[in-house]
Amino acid sequence: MADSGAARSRRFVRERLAGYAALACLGVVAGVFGLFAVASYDRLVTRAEQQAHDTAFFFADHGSRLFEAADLATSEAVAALEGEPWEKVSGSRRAAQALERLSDRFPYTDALFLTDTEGRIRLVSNSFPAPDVDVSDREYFTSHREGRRGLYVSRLLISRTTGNPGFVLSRGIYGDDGEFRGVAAAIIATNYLAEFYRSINLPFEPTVSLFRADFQPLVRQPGTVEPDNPGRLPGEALIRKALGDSPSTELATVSGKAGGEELILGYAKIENVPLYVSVAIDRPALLRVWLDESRVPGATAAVALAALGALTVFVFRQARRDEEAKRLLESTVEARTSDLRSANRQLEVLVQEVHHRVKNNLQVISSMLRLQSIQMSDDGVRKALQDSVNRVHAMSLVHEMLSGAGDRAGLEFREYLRDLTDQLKESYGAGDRVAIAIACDDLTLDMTQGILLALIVNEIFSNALKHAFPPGHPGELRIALERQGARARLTMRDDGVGLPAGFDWRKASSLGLQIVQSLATKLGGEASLTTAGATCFTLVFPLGNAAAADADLPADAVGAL
Amino acid sequence: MPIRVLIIEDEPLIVLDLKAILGELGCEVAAVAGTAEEALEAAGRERLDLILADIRLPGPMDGIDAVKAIQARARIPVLFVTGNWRELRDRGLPDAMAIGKPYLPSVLRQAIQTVMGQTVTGNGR
Repeated sequence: MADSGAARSRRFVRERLAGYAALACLGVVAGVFGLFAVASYDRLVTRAEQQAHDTAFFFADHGSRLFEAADLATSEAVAALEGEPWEKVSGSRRAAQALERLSDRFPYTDALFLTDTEGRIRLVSNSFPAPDVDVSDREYFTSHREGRRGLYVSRLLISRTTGNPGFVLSRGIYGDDGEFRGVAAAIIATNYLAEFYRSINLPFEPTVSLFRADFQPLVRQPGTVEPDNPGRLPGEALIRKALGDSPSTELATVSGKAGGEELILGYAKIENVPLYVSVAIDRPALLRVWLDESRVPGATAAVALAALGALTVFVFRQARRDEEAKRLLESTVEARTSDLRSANRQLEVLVQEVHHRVKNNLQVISSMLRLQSIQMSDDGVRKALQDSVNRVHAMSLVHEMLSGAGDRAGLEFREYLRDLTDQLKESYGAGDRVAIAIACDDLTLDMTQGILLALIVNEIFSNALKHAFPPGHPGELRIALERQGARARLTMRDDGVGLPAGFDWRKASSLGLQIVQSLATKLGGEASLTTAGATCFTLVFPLGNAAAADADLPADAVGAL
Repeated sequence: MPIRVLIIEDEPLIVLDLKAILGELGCEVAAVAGTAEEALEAAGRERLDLILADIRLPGPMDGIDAVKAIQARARIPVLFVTGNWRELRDRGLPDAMAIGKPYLPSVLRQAIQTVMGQTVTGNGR
């Protein structure tokens, strides 16, 4: 039972450890996946920054080539005027066709046109004669008229000649004397640029914008820019700040919050043109890519976590079941132990009661014998009855000592000998004449052996007190009980007057000696009575179970006796 | 003047034996009680020098109860004569004098001498 409990306890500890191990694995897997996810996101941010940077550079480079070509086309158109007056130019079909061919070479130009000093369009690439269109109110025109040299980029507008959205790349036309003669311009089709941006398959779904140096947006993909309401440039604040901090930086990547949105933003200035390209990647797009890329490892981790979680739950449940079983077992053992204790207490009470009744009955017998002896006039009969009283008393003393033995399993014979001899000396009034010497090994006898040996000692001792030490003949009586392996030797020697010569104790008619022979046989012992020098009674007998257990003898050694 | 003794014992043969032994010792049996109630009644009625008391008695009270009740009224020497004298220790009378059953007359005489603090005469048998 104890082994089973210990094994169960060990198993319970193992299961708890296994549970904690599974829990630790769960934590490790969750932690590893968490770290992987964080690292993966960090790598993705780096990739996005690189992507924004490279894409901005690419579109800026592309824009540079496009707008340079368009600028060249306007320059060629101006060169073709050869200083002719506007009236002649506007009537020249050849000039119009040359402009048309020039425009056709660049599909992103919606039209090429020339204006006079008043802002009237005199020559246009898509119709002849040129429609009567006045652009004197356009900012690019007024800018050049007011003396601005170099390339000018207009806001987004709806062309008055084509009706399409676009912006104008223009240069002023000046005579040899520097006099303003008009404006040469190319209308850039924003739809073309938007379509081009859209056609490039880019990761992270960026928003690509083309904007002027004053942050006026011209193209936005995806999305549109309305000429009347162009809206704000995505990430404008970030670019403004970056350019404010370092105006000369023409290619950079910035990230941060702009307009309530977390952005990674690459921007690049288009070479030789006052235009910029920006590539903005927002956080939701980044997260979508991150989630998409994390799907497989995430699913794997989820499966592992689910499996480990299930294992952990299983192991802890098992441990809890075992703990409950252990508690149940312990409570059962405790209840049974309590029952046994209670039963043991009842048994002890019962044993005490039995001892009490036995002693009370022995007292009744003793009293009857004594009352009977009082009635007897014959001294011999009275003494015989007194002997019987002493025998009863010798037996009762065994019960008395056993009932007070408590947890001891048998009769401590040394203590018994002391009490018996004291009381018999007192009973026979021999206290002054006879000295008693007791030498007894530690011997515990069971009740059966104890009573047999007690009665034998009682008889020999009583005989000695009665016959060996008559008045005027004091002496000594020695009693020795010694263990001799699985046997014990009782020796009772007196230095009294001795037995008559030729006395054979085995043939004696004395009831006492007959009792001794009978009890010695029952004990399985060998008794002898010698009279050489002193009277010496010897009894060697096998020890019973209580004494054998006391001496740690093997049970078969006792059984073999 | 003989010692006047109250015997508290429910077994008639033992009572006879005690009477015989006490007679030999020159004591006078003032009363015999078979129950604790009879003992209390006798103690209230008789002048007593000594009580010989058994513990186990029929009825709701036992010998220890009876002795305690009597001694609450008068300090009379007591000798318990019992087969279960260890109960005295458990019942709060660890110093009470007691001899075990069955007793030898000589042992009883010696115990009475000790309790009474005087020599009691008699042949002791």
